[in-house]
Amino acid sequence: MHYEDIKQRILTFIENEERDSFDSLALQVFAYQYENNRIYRKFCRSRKVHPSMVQSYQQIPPVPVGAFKEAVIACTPSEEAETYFQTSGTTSGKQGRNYHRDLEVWTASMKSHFEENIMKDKCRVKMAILFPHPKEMPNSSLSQYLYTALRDYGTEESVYIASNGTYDFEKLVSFLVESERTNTPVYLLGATFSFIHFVEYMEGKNLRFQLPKGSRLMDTGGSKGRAIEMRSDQFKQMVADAFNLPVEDCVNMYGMTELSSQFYDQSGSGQQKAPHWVRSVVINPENGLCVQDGERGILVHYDLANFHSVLGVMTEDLGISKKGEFYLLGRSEGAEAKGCSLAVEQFRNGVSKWN
Amino acid sequence: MELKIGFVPSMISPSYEERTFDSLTLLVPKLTSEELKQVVLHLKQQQRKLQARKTNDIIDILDQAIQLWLDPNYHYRKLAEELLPIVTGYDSEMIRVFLHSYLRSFRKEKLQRMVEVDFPNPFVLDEFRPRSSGGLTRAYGPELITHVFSGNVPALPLWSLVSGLLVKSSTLGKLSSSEPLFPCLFVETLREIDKDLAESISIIWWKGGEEELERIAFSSSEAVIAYGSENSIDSIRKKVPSHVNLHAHGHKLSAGFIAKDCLQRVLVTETARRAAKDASQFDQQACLSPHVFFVEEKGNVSVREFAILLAQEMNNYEVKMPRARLSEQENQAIIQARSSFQFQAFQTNDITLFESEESTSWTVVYDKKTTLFPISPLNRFVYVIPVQSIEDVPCYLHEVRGLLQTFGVACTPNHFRSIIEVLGQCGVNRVTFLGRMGEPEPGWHHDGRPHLADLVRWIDVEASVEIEMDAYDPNRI
Repeated sequence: MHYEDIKQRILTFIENEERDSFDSLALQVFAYQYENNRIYRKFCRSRKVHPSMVQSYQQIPPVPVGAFKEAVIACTPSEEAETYFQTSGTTSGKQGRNYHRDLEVWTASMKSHFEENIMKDKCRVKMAILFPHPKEMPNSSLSQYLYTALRDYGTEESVYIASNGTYDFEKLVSFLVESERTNTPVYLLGATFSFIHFVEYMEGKNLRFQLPKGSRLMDTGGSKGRAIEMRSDQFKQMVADAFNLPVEDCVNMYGMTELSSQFYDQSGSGQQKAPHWVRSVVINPENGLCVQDGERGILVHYDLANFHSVLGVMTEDLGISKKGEFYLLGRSEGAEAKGCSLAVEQFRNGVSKWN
Repeated sequence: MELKIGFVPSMISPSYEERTFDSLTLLVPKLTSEELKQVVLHLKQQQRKLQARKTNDIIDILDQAIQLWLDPNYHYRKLAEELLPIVTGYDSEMIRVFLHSYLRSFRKEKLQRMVEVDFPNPFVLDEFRPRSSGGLTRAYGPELITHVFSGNVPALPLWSLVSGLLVKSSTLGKLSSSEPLFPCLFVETLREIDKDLAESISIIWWKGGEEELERIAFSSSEAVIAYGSENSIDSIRKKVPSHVNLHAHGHKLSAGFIAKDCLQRVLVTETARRAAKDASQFDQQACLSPHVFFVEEKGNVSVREFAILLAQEMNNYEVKMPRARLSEQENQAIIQARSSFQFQAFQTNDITLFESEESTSWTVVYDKKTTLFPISPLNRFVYVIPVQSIEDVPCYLHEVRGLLQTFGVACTPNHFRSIIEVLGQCGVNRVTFLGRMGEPEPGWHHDGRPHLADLVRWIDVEASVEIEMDAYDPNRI
């Protein structure tokens, strides 16, 4: 099967779930990746898995995210890729890359699920983005995501709040004041920690906002490992209070560079809604087998939109699956080992500018 | 099963907090600030009695306790062997074998050696003794030592517990949350033997970081001995007043060096077996567990072949003494580390990954590429790095210099001296033969410092007193 053929099939499936089936498409994509992704083929061989043996997507070997730091995991040579997205600083100092031959499927995936979960009314809305523009972070998938949101769903008055490594909170304040004055609903989108900083800033200045009805807030990334850590529901309550938004209009997005699709948590319960072209399973990391419904484990996502790299990605995130849905419990960053290694690892950590 | 542990003076009746380990619930005493103050006062009073005893008597009591513990049928030993695997998750056979050899290193003659290594004349702990240069001198241990015990290896707290008693200090022991059992059982034995001695010991629990209790404990002590992670040591350091001596044992890194002569065909399997033991014992959780073996090239077998043999021996060890069950995070750390090396291995021959099948039980990474000291995610995950000679090793150690502890060495008599010279220069503070890394000998300089000598303060009575006082002697002629 050729790149364009498989791309078209996936685009069709993203557009309309009825036109294909996840399972058969997953097996096709796996066969395609086994054939074209040299390093993934080696990985499958080391796992003693061949496409002819695989009957359902759960049998497809998922690649641990760490592998993206070590090798180009793509179905065509990296020179032929239009772009790649790169993870931020990591403990090893290496950054993982996910290559995209073009962004057609990535964009279709982003938009389709974004429309369903964030754009309630399907018409353009005034947005403030609390994250840098792709000009500043050309290889950040989040930057590209937010740019796409603004470009395709934002009005002309939409603004970027972050640039040159700093946030222009004064600009954001006047943006919000203006929104209150003109009673124009706004969407605030950005990284979780940027909202935490802004709410701190508001508290320092004794500011509170009453955003007009129809406004929403979307955060992503979580606060784990930051100066201030808070649970997702605490965060939601905090921003809901700060902007006088209904809690259900504060949505969390969960995504990762190594995938090409995102998940949305509308309720704040940690339940992450996947699009129909993604299936998530929870595995026991000790033996790689799926856990029983309701048990904790490591999340593995099978994302058809990731057809150019690998379908299955094993995350570092803990989750529970319940009746086909999964709940994100947070990142399992390394281990709180009984032993002696972690503190030492810390001094090799790079801290990215946007941390 | 539920068991009340800990050790507090009879005059207080503290509340107990539950620590649950699978089927076992341990109740640990959790004191209020007032109760802790009372305990501190009591311990300080008891220390006067302890101070009046002879070091040799204390050694005798400890030796009696060890003799009891060396009997496999002794009730507390049986209890420890039954419960420690539940508490720690470690394999019961591994604990049994370790306990026996470990306890042996606290027998009378070993304790005497521990004292004499640090005090050529041990009587200085009991009374003023003449100094060869004139005058008299005596060593006093702290009135009270707070011990922050570690839990990564069971029974490890015995080291600091015994050290404190040998210098006649009262003991306020803070149990580790992960292994609170052993120190309590051992102190129960001491109580059976000598109630008075046991009265100078109190073993309690609080959650690390608890401000008020830590402030009281640390500021009432003359010394604090603490084991723990960099973070917990840092937090303790901030709370220990400047006039109190802190003996901190933070996390350390250990490694091995294997000379090519030890890869001779007849010996290589034994070498691999020893290396596997060091890397597997206590699931690599001890500060003296190796992260990496530096192996000399140009031996009878190649370093990669040695890595294969090591992998086989890791597997053998796993069959005999399976590793503990891990948390998702710990498993995750192994999986991510494995995949990182596997994907590198797909692209270069300089890296090869050997791993247990369908489990995370053990991992050996042959890595010719790295230029840094490789830090293992632990739980039986070890690196093998080929080197031309011991001279190549220092550049790997440079970055972790302040954190180095033990080196397990396999070598012949011909090269042994050049190896220890290099390691000494690099900041290593303990060298053992391969296969012995987990069992430090009595009297060792833990983290490069004297065990007992660091704890005491000295009083010198100068010769002038002896000489000049005669001039005032009422009986002078």
